Amino acid sequence: MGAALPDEIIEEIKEKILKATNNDQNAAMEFDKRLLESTEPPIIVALNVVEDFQGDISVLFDGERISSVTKDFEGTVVGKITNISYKEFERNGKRHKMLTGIIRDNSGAIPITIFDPPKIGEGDTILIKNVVGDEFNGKLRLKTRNNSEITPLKRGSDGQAELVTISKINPDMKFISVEGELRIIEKNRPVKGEQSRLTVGILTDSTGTIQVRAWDIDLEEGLVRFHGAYPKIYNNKLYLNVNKNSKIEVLRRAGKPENLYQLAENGSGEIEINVRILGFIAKNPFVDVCSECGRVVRDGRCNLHPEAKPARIIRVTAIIDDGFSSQYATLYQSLLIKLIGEDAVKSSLASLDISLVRERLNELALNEFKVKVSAYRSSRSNSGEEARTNMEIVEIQKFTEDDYKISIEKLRGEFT
Amino acid sequence: MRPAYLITGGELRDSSPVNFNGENLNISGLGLLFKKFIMVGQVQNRMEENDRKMIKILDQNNEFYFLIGQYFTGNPDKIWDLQINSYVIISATLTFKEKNSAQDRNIYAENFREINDLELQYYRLHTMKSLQDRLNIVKKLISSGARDLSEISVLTKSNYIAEGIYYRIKENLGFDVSRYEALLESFRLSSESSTNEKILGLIKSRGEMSMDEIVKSLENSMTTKEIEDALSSLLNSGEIYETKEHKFRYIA
Repeated sequence: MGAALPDEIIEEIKEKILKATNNDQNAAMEFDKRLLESTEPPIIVALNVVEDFQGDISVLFDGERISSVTKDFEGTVVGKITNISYKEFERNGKRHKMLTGIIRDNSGAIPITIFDPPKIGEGDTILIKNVVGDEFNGKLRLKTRNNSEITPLKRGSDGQAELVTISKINPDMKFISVEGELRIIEKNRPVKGEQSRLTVGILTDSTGTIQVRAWDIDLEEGLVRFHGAYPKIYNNKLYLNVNKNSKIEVLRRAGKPENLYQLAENGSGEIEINVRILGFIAKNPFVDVCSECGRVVRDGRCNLHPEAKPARIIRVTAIIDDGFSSQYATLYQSLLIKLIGEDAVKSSLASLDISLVRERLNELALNEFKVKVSAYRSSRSNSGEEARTNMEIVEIQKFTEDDYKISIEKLRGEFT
Repeated sequence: MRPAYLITGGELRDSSPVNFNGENLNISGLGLLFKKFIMVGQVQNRMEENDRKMIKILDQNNEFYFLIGQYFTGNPDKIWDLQINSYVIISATLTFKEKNSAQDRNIYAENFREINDLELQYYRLHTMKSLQDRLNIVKKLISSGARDLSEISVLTKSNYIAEGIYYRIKENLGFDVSRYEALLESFRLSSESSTNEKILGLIKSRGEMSMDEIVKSLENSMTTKEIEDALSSLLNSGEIYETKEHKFRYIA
C-alpha cells in the first residue's frame, strides 16, 4: 500500500488527475484502485494513471506542456527523456558533464541540455524545475541553469533504455537498446593479434540497416534485441558495437530458408513457395526404379532390394524461378501425371517416346505454381567435383483463379 | 542460376551492357543485373523479315522487338496464333552485338504465352512490387551507408539481386531513385484510374447495378476487394450514389 498521506493531499492529487484527463472519472477510480495496491508514492501512481489515460502529466506537477514552451519560458516541465548523449567539458578549471537529449510529453517534444545531470537513463521520466527556453541555431530548446532542480521520477522500460530505431542511431549515443533481424556474415574472426574474436552481423529493421560488431561474444541469427549497445564511427561508417557487458535477447531464432536462393545456399531443407516454371528439360527421361523403395536402380538391380523387380518411370527437370534464383528441380512421375495427365505419361512409357510429354509440359511453361521443394547436398567426390545442391519438387499445384485473386490482393496490400 | 526477373519496359530500356566477373550481362539503372528476363506486355504485331520471325510487344509506352531465334524453346510458328492487342508473358534473353554498346541490342524470345486479364493484373502488380522492393532497399542503403556485398545481400535475400546494386555502388554509377519512384507512382495512378473507369463504365452502361452484379461481371479481371475500393472511391468523388444498400447508380 502507498505511504500514508493526509487525505487532503490525496484529494488534491485526484483533482489534478481529473484536470489532466479532462475530467475522466475512470482515471480517478483507477488511481484509487492502484493506490491501494501500489508501494510507490501517490504522485508516481498518479503519473502512471495519467500516462495510461493519455492525459496531460504537466498538470500533476504544475508544469508547462512541452508544446507551449517558448524562447522566453522559465518554469517546470515533466517528460520522458530519450536520445541521450553525454559530453564532458572544462570550465574555470573544473570538469563538467553535459547531457543532451529530447524530452517529450503527449503534447510534443523538444531538445534539452542538462548541465551536470543526476543519473538519468534513456526513457526515464524526469521533472525539471527552473528550466529555461533557449534558441540555438534558430531552433527552440530547453536548458538547465545553476538553480534548476532535476528529479528522476520513473525509470524507462524496466531500467532498460527505450528502443531506438536503426535510422535514429547516431555516434553520440551510448548504451542504446535496438531491435532487428540479425544475419551473421562473419563468425569469430581473430583480431588484435588473437587477443579478441569478432563476429560481424547485419541488423535490419523497417527504418534501416547497420553492421553489428560483437566482441568476444556469440551472436545468433533471428529477431534480436540488443541492450547496452554502443554506436561507433570507424572509417567513416557507423557500426553498432556489442560486448560482454551488453545484453542480447533472441526474440525469434532464424527460421527456415525463405526462397530458392537461400535453400540452395543451405544445401538442405524444404520450403513451400510460389514459383514460375520457365521450362522443362527431358534429357534421359526414362529411368528404372526399385518397386520396393522407389530408388533409381543401376544395372537393373536395387542394392537394397535385389529381388524386387525394377519399374520404368519418367522423370523430368523443371526450371523453377521465384525471382531470387532459378533452380533445376527434379519432377518425378507421380507429380508429372498430376500435371499432364496419365494418358500422356503411359503413352510415352509404352512407346519410349517423350514427345507427347514434352508437348504437354511446354504448354505449362511460364505458368505460376505452388510447390514444395526439397533440397539435399550431393557429393561428387569420385570425379573431384564440389558438393552441389540438388532439388526435387515434392508437391506441385498450378495456380488456380483463386490463387491469382488471393495473390493480387496480397500484392495490392504490400504495394504502397 | 541467376533468376529471370520480371522487369518493366522502362527498366529494360534503361539497362546497359556490363561485363561482370567475366560474364556478359546487363545492368539496369536500379542495379538489376540480368541476362534473362520476363516481361508482360501487349502484342502489337508479329512478323517475318529476312527469314527472321519476331514479335513487337508494348509495355508502358515502350516497344520492343523480340526475335524468335536461337534461344526459342517452342515451335516458332506459334507466333502466328497470337492475337494482335492480346497480352502475353514472355521470357527472353537480352544480348548486345557490340560489347559495351547499348545501341545495338537484340532481344531473343525464349518462350511466351497469352495471358488473361487476371494474370495480367497479377504479373503487372508482381513486377511493380519487385521494383518497389528493390527501390526501398536502395533507399535504405543510401541512408544507412551500407556498402558491402554481404550487407546488401542480407537485405535482398539473394546474392544475385545484391550483386547488381553492389556493382553500381562500387563503380560510382549512382541510382536514379526519383525516376523509379515516378514510374511506380504513374503505375499506381493508372491502375487506380483504370479500375475506377472500368466500374464506372459498367454502371453507366446498365444504369443501376448491385454489388453482386458488378462482382460477377468483373470476377475474371478484379478481386472483390478492388471492386469495393473502387466503388468507395467513386462514391466519395460523387460519380455514383447508392440508391439502396449495395445498389449503385451513375450520377448523370
